[in-house]
Amino acid sequence: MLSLTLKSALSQLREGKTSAKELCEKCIERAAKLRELNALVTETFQIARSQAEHAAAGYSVGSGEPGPLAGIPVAVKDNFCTKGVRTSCASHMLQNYAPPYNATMVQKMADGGAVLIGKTNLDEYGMGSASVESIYGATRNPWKYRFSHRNNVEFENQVEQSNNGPDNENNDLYTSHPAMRGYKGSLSERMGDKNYTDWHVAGGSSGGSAVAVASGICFGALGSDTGGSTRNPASYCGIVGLKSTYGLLSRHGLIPLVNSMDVPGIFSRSVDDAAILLNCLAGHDVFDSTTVPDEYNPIHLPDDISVKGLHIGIPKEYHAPGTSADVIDAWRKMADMFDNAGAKVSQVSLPHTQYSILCYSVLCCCEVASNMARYDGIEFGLRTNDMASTEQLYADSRHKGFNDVVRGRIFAGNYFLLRKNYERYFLKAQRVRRLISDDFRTVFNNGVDLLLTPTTLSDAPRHDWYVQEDNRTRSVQQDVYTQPINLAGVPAVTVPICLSCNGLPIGLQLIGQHFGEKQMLLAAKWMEQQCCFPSLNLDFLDQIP
Amino acid sequence: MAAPLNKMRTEIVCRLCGKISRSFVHRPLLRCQPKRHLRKHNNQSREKWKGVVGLEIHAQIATSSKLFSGSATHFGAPTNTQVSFFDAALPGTLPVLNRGCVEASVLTALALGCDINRVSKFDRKHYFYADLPAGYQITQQRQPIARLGKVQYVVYDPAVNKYPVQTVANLTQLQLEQDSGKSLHDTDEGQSLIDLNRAGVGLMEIVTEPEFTSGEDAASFIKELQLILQVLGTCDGKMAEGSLRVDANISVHKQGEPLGVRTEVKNLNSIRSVAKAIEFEIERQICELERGRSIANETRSFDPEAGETVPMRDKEKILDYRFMPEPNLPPLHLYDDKSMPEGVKPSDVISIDAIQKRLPELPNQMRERLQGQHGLTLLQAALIVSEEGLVRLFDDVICDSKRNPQTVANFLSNEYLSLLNKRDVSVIESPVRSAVIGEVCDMLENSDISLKIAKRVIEEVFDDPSQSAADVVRENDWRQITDEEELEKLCQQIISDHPQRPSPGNKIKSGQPDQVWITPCPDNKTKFAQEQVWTTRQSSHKKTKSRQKDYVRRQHVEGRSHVFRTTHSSGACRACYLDIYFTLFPLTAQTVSCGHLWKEFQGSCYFYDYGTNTPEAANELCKETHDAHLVKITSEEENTFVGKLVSKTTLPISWIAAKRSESGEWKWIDNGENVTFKAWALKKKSVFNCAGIIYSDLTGASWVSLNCDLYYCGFVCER
Repeated sequence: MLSLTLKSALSQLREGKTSAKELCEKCIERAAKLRELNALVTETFQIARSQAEHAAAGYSVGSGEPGPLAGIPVAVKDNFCTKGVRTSCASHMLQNYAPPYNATMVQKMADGGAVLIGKTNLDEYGMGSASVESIYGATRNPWKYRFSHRNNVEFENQVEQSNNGPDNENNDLYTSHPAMRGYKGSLSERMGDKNYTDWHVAGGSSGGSAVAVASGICFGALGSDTGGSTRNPASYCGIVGLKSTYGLLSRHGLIPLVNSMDVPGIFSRSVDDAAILLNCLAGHDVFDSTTVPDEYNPIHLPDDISVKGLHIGIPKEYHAPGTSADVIDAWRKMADMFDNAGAKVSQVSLPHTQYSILCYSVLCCCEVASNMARYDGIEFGLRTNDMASTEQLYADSRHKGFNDVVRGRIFAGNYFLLRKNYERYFLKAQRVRRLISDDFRTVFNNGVDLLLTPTTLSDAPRHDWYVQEDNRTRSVQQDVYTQPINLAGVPAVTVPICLSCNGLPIGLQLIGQHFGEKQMLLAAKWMEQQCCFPSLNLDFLDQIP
Repeated sequence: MAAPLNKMRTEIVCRLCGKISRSFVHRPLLRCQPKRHLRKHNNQSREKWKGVVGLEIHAQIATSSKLFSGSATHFGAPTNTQVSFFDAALPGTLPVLNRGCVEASVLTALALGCDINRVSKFDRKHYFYADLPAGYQITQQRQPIARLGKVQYVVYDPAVNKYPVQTVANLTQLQLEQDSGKSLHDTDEGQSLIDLNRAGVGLMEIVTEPEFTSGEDAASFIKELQLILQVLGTCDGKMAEGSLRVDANISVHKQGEPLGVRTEVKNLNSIRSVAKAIEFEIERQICELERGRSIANETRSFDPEAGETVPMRDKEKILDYRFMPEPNLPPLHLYDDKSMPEGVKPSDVISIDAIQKRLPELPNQMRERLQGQHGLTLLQAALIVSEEGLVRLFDDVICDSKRNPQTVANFLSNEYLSLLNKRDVSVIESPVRSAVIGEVCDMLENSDISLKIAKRVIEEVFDDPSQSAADVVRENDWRQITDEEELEKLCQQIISDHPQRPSPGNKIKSGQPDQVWITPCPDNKTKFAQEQVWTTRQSSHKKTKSRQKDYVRRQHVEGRSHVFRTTHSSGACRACYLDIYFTLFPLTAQTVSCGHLWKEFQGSCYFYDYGTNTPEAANELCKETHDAHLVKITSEEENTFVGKLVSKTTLPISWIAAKRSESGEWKWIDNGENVTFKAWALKKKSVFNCAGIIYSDLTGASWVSLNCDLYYCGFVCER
């Protein structure tokens, strides 16, 4: 049952074939079994159970129309504020922080009847591309993962015990989460296989959400996408990842990485599911002045889709060095499929793409430096004991609260923003950003409807290989196909296409025009129909006690 | 008993922010900066130098909610009760621009003659401070909402020019920005306490060109700006509450030479402080330069007590604010009727033309109208306009009548305003209706009553607004006697009834109410009264004396009109006219003058002073400076009176003279007598040994027990 799509789960609920409570319990059970993947950093099973109960009531006779997501278990990336539930951004800085309000996206999901299973793992503040830079340890890709079952029961018990007292004040900062101890080297010990290192990264930064959806912990999830943080893990985990147009989804309550590029991301197992979630989430939010005030027209995707006459552009600059043969092959085949189906496929040029990563590095660091200024330990978050002076308190709290990657970006950002450097870096980067954005505009103005590109260079890399290079290097490699889209603010979706020769998923990315989600999702659904991608099915786990 | 002086002189550095607490700098220390060297400079050297002053004004926008959040903006609300998630910079919150603030700033910019930018943008200005929760302030550095403006204002400095002068100030820009929170430094505990109620309140920062030449010049501009803001209703202009704050950039140079190094004097919170701080700073800089020293580019603060500027202790390091565009706010677009995009709802956009139509008559236009339409002088017009609400009153009194505008203007700006000042109410709050003032002016015009009686009539009506002026005059039989024979008779009668005639120069002791002294002029032919007897209790207060002289002088002037009038509380003699000239001095309790800035209540005089850290020190200061003592409250009425007095001040708590003795009894500190009346705020037994009074609208005046040397409180002297 947990490998159903959201859409079919909804119809089963409507038809009474299953109940919201049953679905919820199954997901909780799955989540508990898959703790070793480290997808959830905070489990909200109690909340889920009460929400499921509420949703179940919605389906009972005579209680009106149930919400659009009534009874659907979902997960939310741990950088969306959840009222009363810890929202840590996988950082020591916010490890003690439970927001007093819900992010608009979280609220809309809850209003739609969704059931919150938990908060998902990410790279600290979303700064990373593999979900390895988390204080809770890395998230593991469920594809080709060797599940350990021998000590499963014991492991679960331990986790339950720790979960009983997350607020225990005596907990050392570094050991208050069970997975954190794993990070320090004991997790695999507990799992009984010290030598198990050849698992694959989940992608990032929204790796936890991608894994949760791919492995059946939930039917849809929220991530965020600043440079590819939704599409990259969706591609690695073989699911659909949607980054909508900037301004369509509210960022209110999404703890920002780069305000001018952040977009809430949607994870689902099918394009239809993504559309259902988008319909529930999209629209103007008075709390976010950057959302567009126009009324949102819900997207309904027919099953019978024709791509005849559609103009698909293949950007010639999107052949980055290091792209695997599998990916190129999948890309070429998909272009041929479009061509065969009567679409017009032509090569286009986005000449400024090559500067995108550099431009992003500057703009990202600047906004990070600014956004992180509020974490001073005064109003909320980590406050250390160094009270020699206010400055000392700030310095110490911020030193202990942030990891090297975050501190490095703050440092660089402050450098770029210095009065003497502003013109040379920030302004220049903004001009380059305009050029990159204009590239897309030009292509679309010349009659191209959608762009087809790879999502990632390859299938999901192995963790031990990934961590051989630093965050900065990896980000540059990982974000190459996804990140120009954020600079331009256009929508993009990654769809799982096929398996690589390693047996890992490969996704392709469709890039649409501003607020052209409907056209983009239609083509994405068509691609999905052509590929019959073999989704991950972990239902065998249900047989194991 | 007194707190050890050495402690007060120790400068204690706050462990949190490195600031030196002012509370530990004893005021005499600040004063010790010698003023003498300034006086040495004669006017000649002063004339060679030219002061150059530019102002930065922060005006809090009088909207009910903050610039980017829905929190309320009431002044004086309980700590941290007006703080939304955004104001506390909780992660994930976003700014939402308050339309009211934009409209208010556009209205203000239009009134100040600015060019409105059709597109303006917001920037982040970064610096770390505990009362700035986001680590940056949202402001408009690069593209403000308005640029370039012109404001006409009137400078009236009798020391420089006999007549008021009209002049123009040029503005550089007007920008929208957020206010910060407030930090309170508790030096003993080594803590800083943060109040975020003010954080995020909308500010209009108004920057002028550096064109002012003197303190009086700048102060006159601020006064004009305050009036404009009040007329517009976009800022209440209350400098004491921090709604309007002024920073001044000051430099001096010699004619024809490049501008000098400037200093910045921050947070001037009254119009007088603006004038005095700038004057002091110009003098100081001239003095330094004359002595061959250089001026440091520094930030200074103004001590209004000492009348001096002092370098800020936390020397502002040169900060790089790392400005960056605010990514969460789209550019702010403003439209006029021509550029208005089609098909938009008026509620979705802001039209400059629509706001232009809301512009009321501005102070400058009021002055022009008063001069042109009613023939007032610029000074008269300026006086009428300078008080909020007085123009409307003037218009109401003049309206549809043949009243003499001069009489009305003079009566309003002299007698009426001085009465209101005495009662400490504003024109708007006054219960006296315009009809009554009209009546009084008519009676004045017809010589039915004297100016002095006119003032008393208004006083009576003030106390009981249901009466008409005619009622009051009739009931009290205050109509002026103009028949010379009748007057002569009356005066002769008085002289014979009062055989005591003190010789010139005699002093009359106070405390004899209803006593009337009549002194004929030595020279019967003289039509000018000579100063014969003038008395009141000896006062150490200089201001009081000068007041008295003014009063005598005014009597001389009245003498010229052959009528010298005074009243006696019993109403026996109302007017005397004769070749024989009389002065009458009724000495009643009411005439005991407390002096400038002092408030009178039930026969005692009260004066609020700013801050010490022990009640003993406060008592000493009362004794030294005012020949008074720290207030001793003995009745509910007095308690309320003192409470209201301290409620209008910046420090929330004021010392009173009560102190707990070792036996646990509360006694007055100067004579050790038991405290009989008490008004504790809390029922439970107090833990501390000193006491202060605090006032709130909700609970009235109440006492709190305080740690004897922990707090920096205001105090009230009584004599």
